[in-house]
Amino acid sequence: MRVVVAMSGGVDSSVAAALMVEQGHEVIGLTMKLRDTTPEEKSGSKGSCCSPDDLMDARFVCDTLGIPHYIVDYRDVFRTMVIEPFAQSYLMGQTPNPCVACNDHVKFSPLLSHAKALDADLLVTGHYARVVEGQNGLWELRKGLDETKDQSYFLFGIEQSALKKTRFPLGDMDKDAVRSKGKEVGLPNWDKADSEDICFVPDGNYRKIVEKIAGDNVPPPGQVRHKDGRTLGEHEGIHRFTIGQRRGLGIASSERLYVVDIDPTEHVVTVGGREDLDAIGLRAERCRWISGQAPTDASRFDTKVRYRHNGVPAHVIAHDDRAIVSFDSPQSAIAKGQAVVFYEADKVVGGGWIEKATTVEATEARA
Amino acid sequence: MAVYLDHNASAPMSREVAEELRALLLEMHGNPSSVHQSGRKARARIEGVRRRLAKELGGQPNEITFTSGATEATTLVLSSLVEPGDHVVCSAFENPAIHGALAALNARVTYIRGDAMGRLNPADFQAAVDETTALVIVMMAQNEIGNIFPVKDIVTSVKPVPVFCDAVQALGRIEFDVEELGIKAASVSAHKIGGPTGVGALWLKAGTELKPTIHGGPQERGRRAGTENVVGIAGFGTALKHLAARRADSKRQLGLKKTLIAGLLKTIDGVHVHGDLEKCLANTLSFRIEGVSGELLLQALDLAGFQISSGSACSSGGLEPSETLLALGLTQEQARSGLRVSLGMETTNNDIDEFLSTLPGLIARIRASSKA
Repeated sequence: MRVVVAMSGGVDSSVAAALMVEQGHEVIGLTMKLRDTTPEEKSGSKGSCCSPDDLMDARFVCDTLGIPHYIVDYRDVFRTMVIEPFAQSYLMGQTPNPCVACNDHVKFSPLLSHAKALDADLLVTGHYARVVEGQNGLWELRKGLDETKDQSYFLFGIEQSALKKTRFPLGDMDKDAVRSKGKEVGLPNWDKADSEDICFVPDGNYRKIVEKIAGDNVPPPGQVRHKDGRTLGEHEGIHRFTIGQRRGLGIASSERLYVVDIDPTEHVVTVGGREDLDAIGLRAERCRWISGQAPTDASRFDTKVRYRHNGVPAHVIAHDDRAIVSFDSPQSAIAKGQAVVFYEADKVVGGGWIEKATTVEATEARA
Repeated sequence: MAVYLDHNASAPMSREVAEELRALLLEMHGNPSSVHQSGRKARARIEGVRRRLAKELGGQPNEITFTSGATEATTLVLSSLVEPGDHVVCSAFENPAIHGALAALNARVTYIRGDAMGRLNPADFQAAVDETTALVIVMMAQNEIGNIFPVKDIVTSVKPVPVFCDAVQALGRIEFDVEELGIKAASVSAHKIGGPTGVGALWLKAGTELKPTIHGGPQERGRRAGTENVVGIAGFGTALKHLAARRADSKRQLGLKKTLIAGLLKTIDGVHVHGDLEKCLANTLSFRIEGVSGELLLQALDLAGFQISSGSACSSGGLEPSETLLALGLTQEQARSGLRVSLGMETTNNDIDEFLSTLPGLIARIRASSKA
């Protein structure tokens, strides 16, 4: 088979390519150019995904494997569909998840079309997740076997037609096995450090990017208020805060305070105690279901409300692309803009975007 | 199977050059600045090539400076002829080497665009120069669309402003004589004529001092320091010996290009040919296919064994739409569909036939995948 491997220059996608070569496929390496190079990256002092060093690494790996390598230019779509919505989300007081957006709008959209145009049968990536052919001709998305690396959370938006054409060869490996495989087949980057940051925020300072995109619309300073109504101080813009944040609030207080609410219209950041972060459920919008069909009956799913969340059993009522979720036990720091993903054991059922957390108070007020 | 149709990026090394180099790599080890026998032998070789190149271009041997390529020749000559802040009149079809050097010199640049076929009007150059203009820059033959520009008329129209001419694609393809054209300087490169990469030269009319950009020893009359690339220059010389045969092949290549154009127009919808086919290098064809990304088609063709370019080789890696095609008035989208086929002495009828029989299938697949 002819397969396209999306190659970042990191060890995971490189090993994915090596495995496909080993399995006897005709392999083509593609690296997505997602943004322009920064001066720091040009000098070689700093790098993240898409730096010139990463492109060179991907190219070098392909040369080592003896496969063709091409660069595809997705700077425009990445800016409009990932970076700008990321900034807008912060400007609206939310906590965005750009990796899901990138999978939805870049990898499993234009990249998959590109693979088809090159007459490839499959698109392969280095994600820690699995694609399994299930019953009734439906394809299933499952967690990677290495729970500490599992990336199925980021992939809930993938459609049946795309899933059918996608494979994740690292899905049943753990990171150590991936690295030793890389070493075994002589990949030059087998011991390259993992990238943990968001690829377009290599220094971890997302505020700079948000402010650059906001231009004249950088959120003004506003008040930091306690949940009990007291004004505690001033802040320099709501985009600097996320729900559950404890550090950098700029206020002195004897009690431990957390951001519990961000009001983008009044520019107010509300803080409270840890218990004020608890939610008993949430409402989700723009839901996608791996099977293509929303569950018709009320269901019980293991529910993840952020990537590094252990998951909580929950009662889920789905209707079209919306879902109402009630947790078995309260969950902390549910942030609007993050994805909620539903699992049945290790199978991804679907997911959506968190629209609102359901707090105890809201429920009591209604009652 | 591999069909190579990217001669403007780099031509395959000719057999004569390769055999000569094989022998020289084992024999030629002296430093041309050394007094001893090996040094003298190396020196003699370089000077022989200098005389040959001068004769080929129509200049004098002492007007030739060997460099690492045309880009270095460009930087060298612009640094000498343009002072920071000077006014320069430049065609819109120049190589990135020109833009880079002019930007580094902080020159004030007036760009001259042509018509929709890329034809340059000497009167536009005349209108753009004034008493502050230090230099006029125009290519002899354009690397992407193949247009042969009216250098002599431009020289006349801008007199007495000196004219620098990138002759990289012209060498070995069309006849020219630097004295007869009346230009001030020209750059050439070995690897476009069957020589090795990493060798080029600047011809600069006697009477103008060159300001070295590489400093050190007195090599190249003090114009370019550093031990000479002896073997590379020797290979350049061998390639120069066969220039007449290269030029003579142009007629055959023009026949192939005509077959190619007719085939494209017949088998594929939405083909547009760029440039001035009346006054054009015989080997160069620039075209686009509506709604088909040039980068994507380039990759699909490569996988099918056909090597072409989506613009100049420099911009193929750069992912930016071709400046040359934008200068023709094409939109960004149209420019991103641009492709270049450039033929050479090795290109056969069969290559063109196979290219034409493969392309429609690839186009159909690409069009189908973008609809899905």
